[in-house]
Amino acid sequence: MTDSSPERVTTLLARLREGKDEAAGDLFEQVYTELRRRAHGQRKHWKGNPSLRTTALAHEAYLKLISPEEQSWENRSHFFAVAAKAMRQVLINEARRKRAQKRGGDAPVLSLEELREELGRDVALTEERAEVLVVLEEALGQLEAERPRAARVVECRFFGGMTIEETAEALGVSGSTVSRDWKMAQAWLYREMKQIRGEQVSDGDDSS
Amino acid sequence: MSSPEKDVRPKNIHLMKSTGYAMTGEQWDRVGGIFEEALACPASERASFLKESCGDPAVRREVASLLKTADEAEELFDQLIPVVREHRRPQKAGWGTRTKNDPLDLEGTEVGRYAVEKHLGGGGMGIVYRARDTELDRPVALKFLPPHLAAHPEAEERFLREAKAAAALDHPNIATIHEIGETEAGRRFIAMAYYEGETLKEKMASEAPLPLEEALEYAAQIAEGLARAHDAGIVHRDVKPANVMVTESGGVKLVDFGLARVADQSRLTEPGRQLGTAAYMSPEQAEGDEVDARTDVWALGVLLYEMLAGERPFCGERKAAVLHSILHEEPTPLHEHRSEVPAALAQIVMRCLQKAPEQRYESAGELLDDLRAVRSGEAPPHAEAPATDDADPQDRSIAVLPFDTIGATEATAFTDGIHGDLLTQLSSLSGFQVISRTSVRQYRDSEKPVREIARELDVQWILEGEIQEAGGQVQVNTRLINAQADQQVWARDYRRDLTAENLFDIQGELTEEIAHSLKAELTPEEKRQVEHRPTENLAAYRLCAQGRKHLDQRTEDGIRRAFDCFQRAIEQDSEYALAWAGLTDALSLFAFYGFTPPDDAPDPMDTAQRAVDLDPKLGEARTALGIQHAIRHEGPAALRELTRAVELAPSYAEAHIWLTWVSVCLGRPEMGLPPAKRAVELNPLAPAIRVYLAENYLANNNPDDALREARRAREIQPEYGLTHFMEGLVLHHKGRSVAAASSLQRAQSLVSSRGTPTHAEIQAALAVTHAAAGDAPQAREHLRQIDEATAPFSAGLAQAALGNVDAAVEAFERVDNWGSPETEHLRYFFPDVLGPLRDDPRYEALIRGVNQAWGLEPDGGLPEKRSPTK
Repeated sequence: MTDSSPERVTTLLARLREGKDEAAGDLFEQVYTELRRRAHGQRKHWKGNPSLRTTALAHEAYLKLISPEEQSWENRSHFFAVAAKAMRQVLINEARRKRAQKRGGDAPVLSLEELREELGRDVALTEERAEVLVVLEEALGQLEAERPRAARVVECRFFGGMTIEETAEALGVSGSTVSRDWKMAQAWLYREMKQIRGEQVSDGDDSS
Repeated sequence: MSSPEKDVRPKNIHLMKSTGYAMTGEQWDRVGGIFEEALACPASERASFLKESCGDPAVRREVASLLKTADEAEELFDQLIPVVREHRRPQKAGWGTRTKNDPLDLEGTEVGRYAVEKHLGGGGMGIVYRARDTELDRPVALKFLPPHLAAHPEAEERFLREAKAAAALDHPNIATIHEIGETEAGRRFIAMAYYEGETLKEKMASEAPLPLEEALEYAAQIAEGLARAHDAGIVHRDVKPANVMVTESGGVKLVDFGLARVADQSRLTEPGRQLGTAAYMSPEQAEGDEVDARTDVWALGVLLYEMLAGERPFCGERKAAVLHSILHEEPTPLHEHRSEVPAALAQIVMRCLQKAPEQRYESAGELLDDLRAVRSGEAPPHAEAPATDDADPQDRSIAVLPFDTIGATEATAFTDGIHGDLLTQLSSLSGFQVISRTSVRQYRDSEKPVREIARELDVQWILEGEIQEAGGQVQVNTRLINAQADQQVWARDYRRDLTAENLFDIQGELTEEIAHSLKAELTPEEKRQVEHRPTENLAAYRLCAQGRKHLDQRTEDGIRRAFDCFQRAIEQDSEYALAWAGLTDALSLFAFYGFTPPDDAPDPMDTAQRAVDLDPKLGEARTALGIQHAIRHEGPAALRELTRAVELAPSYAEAHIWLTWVSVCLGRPEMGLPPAKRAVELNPLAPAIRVYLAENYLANNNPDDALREARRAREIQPEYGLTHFMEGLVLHHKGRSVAAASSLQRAQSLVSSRGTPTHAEIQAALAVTHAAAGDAPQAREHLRQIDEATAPFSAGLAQAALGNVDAAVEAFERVDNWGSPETEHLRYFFPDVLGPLRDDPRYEALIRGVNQAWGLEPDGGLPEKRSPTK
């Protein structure tokens, strides 16, 4: 049985946050696959009436959480989001380790534009790329503070590799919101990353 | 590539932090909308598009700024995605990569007279490097406070104090401390002797259990070191295998004296940071009480047990389960793990593992005497453990694990039906604690040992079994296990012709057998109930079982199928009360989730009443009726039915939860507490129900217990928004508004847009906490995030927080549905904010209105006499 109980997933997440991803193995990937399978298996539509929530829905939420293997939407979306978060954490842990391995050299730091051109050749996590991911994490932290929903979208789309529809389902928003948040967040994060890295935002190019 | 447009923004906008244009959610969406449209425009038309569509120059600047980087950004992210995909899976490199890590960036540097060579590891308590003392030319170990602790001056001070005390201990079994130093950057460290060898943890990882003689030798050496420390009045506090070095010559060195205290202290300020393993904690540590030498005795007992048995005496998958085990469970007798362990040695270990400190050895010295005696084959002088209580014979807590189905796969619903009915029967017995179906369900197909399941659910007894249906016959095999003693009490196999009568007879006989074994005397009424056959119709029985299974899925499709099954069951046997109760539950769920019920759906109040009329003693039926009253805010009737339901079915968790809720909404929180506690007992692993208990404690003005429960819930499921929300409310009550705000923000980040609590509820609570912390602008910002039209109560609460009494009362007056949580919040919570309102006559009118909305007299009393609702 795939162990995707909420306790397991969240314990895993806590361990990841402490940088202990060695022990985690690929458990969460299993969890993720499992969740994805379920999401495709039974799509449901929330047509809730908010005033009803105020009477009894809260109880329902409680009851639902009792049974981890009978995932209904709230749990499932929760786990989707958690799985994406776990992936983010693993990646960032790895990037930090990579960066910590070699420090102090005067290696030239590529600008984001240069880095972009260099990317696409392979999927290695080079020191430069690790650095960019760490900066991205910092920028994402800022976004999280200002627009948590957009940050969740980035988690699902970028780190979790989820489609627009899956992200919409997981976060309980419409596909168009996800799509808009995703585009906005990329531009926003990019600008923020440039600022963090001390790069000028690109107006050198566009004199006309 | 470059963006083709001319940038008209002032230069300094680049330097502006993103926060320079802090967008509210609404602004973000608006900017997003324009941004998206602009992206769709041909590049040459964007500038004019922006001019047209943005009235607000700040918005226009923001969109233009984002547009400028949009393409580059998208390209970068697209290019990064393959890298992410490759690396988001954890590397299985093991510890090898970890030692390469250099968390303090010290490798190759000089710290005072020490040349730092290599990071060795370290956890919560310290980061350790191997270094060379350049003056004395010998290897040393340097231990640094981890950054999260170094940030606390008190922690650092304590680190130094403890290190000094330990440095004074000169003993061959205690790691030698050379000096306490400080780096140029001001980081304090301890220089210790460096020992070649491995920790006991590493040793046990490769060879466990250890040879008897070796285990005894290590234990004695540890005890010697501890005895020396105890004589000097020093308690180690964190004896565990990772803190015991075994040198190459077999000598034992204890490290990290007293350091646990440093981390303990900081834990108060670092919620969520877990200290290493809980497995070696003593009960008094687990409870957060004072510790003394006997805590070390306990830990050494755990360690010795582990060395001998090859596994820990108290274990569990999660920290909460481990702590629970430490506090409430007896370990498996050592000889069951390893028959050659001498009885005297087992007795020593058990004396160390007494829950009450006064029953353990007074100090490591006494323990050492006994260990020495065992080694020389003498009777240990102190091992005379006080008599331990046997398992309580009156403990009637039982978990009935889901039955397995043998053969036909289709029979699962049938199997579950029998399981559910057995639970229903047992639940109606007084003096029993029967774990609810929802909590045992997760152990289906589980390969966990029965003992462990019993430990997780905190029960004494387990019933398990299989069901087979073949050739017109049914076979039911069951086993009752005394989980505390790990003994099978009996096995009962039944084979009968498959009829409804026979099924109920089997269940009745089983129930009586169980009652008998648990030494419970059934009352005549209970006996009648047990022998009662709810239906004679097998088809109805099957349909009803199928319906309950569908209902458990809590999906629209599941609820529809369930509804169908119950209706067909009723067609088969219109006198079947449980089917009517199930039909009602299906209809209730349609309402909760906002699904449209089928066109021909009956009024759930009628179906509930029908169920009760058919079997007035059926707890499920009373609960279904009580829920219907509760949903309609018919408070007194709901209270009456649910109180009755709880009496009829003392182990039916759903009845308890609803009774709690109704009591609290009716302004009777003291009545809500016992059922809330009971619901937690019946569903020990459900974080949501703990949150509910926490809310009840808070309503009863007991924030300390509320905080404890909220935190336990968080331990069970850290990523569950509602627990953080509740923790925030409790912390606010305790006057800790900054911590409260941080919990609420955490809740906000975890709760999806349609989750519980709602966005508006969180915003209102944040407004209250920020106002309490003196940050009115921030509180106003949260108020702005609330849509008063759809969330008048939250808006009112935020207004009240800002001192706008009139606006608050007006908003409250607009609430037309006093449900949950508005009712609880108005009645009990936020006394600092709502307190001042309580003198306002309009507020009193509000409360009267709420009372009436719940079917009470305006003063909150129960109506004298009322004709039954139906």
